[in-house]
Amino acid sequence: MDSLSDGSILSCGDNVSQLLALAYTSLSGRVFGYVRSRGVDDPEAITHDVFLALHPLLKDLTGGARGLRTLVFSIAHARTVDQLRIQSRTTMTVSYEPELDRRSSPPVDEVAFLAEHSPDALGLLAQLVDDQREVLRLRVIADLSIEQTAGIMERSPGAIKQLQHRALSNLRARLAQTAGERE
Amino acid sequence: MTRPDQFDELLQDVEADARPAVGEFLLALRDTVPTKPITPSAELARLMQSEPRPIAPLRHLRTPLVVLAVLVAAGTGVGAAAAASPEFRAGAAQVFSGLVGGSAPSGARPVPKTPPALATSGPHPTATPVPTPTPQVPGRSQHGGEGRGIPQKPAVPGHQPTEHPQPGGKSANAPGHSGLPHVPAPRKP
Repeated sequence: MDSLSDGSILSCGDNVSQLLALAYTSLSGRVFGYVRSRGVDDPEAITHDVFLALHPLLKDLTGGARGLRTLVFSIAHARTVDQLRIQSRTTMTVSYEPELDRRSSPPVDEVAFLAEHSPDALGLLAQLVDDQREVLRLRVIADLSIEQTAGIMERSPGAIKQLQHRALSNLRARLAQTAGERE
Repeated sequence: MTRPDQFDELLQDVEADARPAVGEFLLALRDTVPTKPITPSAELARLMQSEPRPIAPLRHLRTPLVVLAVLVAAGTGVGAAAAASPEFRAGAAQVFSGLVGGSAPSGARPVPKTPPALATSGPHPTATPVPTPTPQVPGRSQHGGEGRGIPQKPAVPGHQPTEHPQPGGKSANAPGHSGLPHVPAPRKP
């Protein structure tokens, strides 16, 4: 899925359409996952908006694959913040995501997978404070480095390391608490 | 997917005894990302397929455009200098006449091409000047109106003053024609 590299960007040359297609093929899934993890009503539409906003910026792209990934998630971060602000002023709605619907019967291989992995990752993530959640989303779902995350959140890399450390410590405590409750 | 070095880097921030549980959580979080790209909207699909017209084809016009711009700028500058200073005009005329005279056959003397106002004050040329054709207005003196502040009407070759038809009369230009359409008299049965 993530075939984004400096070489693949160079092969697009000055063809902005081809570069947009490459960015979309490589990153739309991650952008969708990131936007959905933030609880936006229509994550697919926001994902489309992110790439529509990316298109006019591609002709001035610098930094290769790393620059493109940072740019895409900078737009996604800003669009999500705007959308959540709009949502907070309007009536609360709940989007239906078939993948997250626990009432349906998943296929047998998914049962085995969910039994093996702790299933409610997004639910556990929601128990962290906002900045810690955002660091983990950008680091794990968006697959960004400390420096890239710092750029998007407009913090120093040291501050991001601190937030990450606290987020993982809190997770550890909550996971231990959950395990104790199961026993 | 998450590059192994980044994932390991993230796990190194966790104490060793908690790494299996936290690692599981991070894997589960990572697997919330769809494995396939999202279906693009119609507008996105169009943008990813169509390529706007490149600017490159205009490059072959660059040199002619630059030459044209330089010529226009030079012409504007020369025109402005000529309009601002009479000496420039006189100097340019002398240079031009010198160039023409230099290319004339030996024995012929150069004819200064100066404006009439300058020609009257300068030395009289020995060669007979060629009279230049002037527009003639029928029915008007050649010098009529000049020097009196009366604007001349543009000359219209073949234009004759027309007579205004008198009411009830006939025009001299169309004898026997009253200007009204001819209506045939109804035949008697």
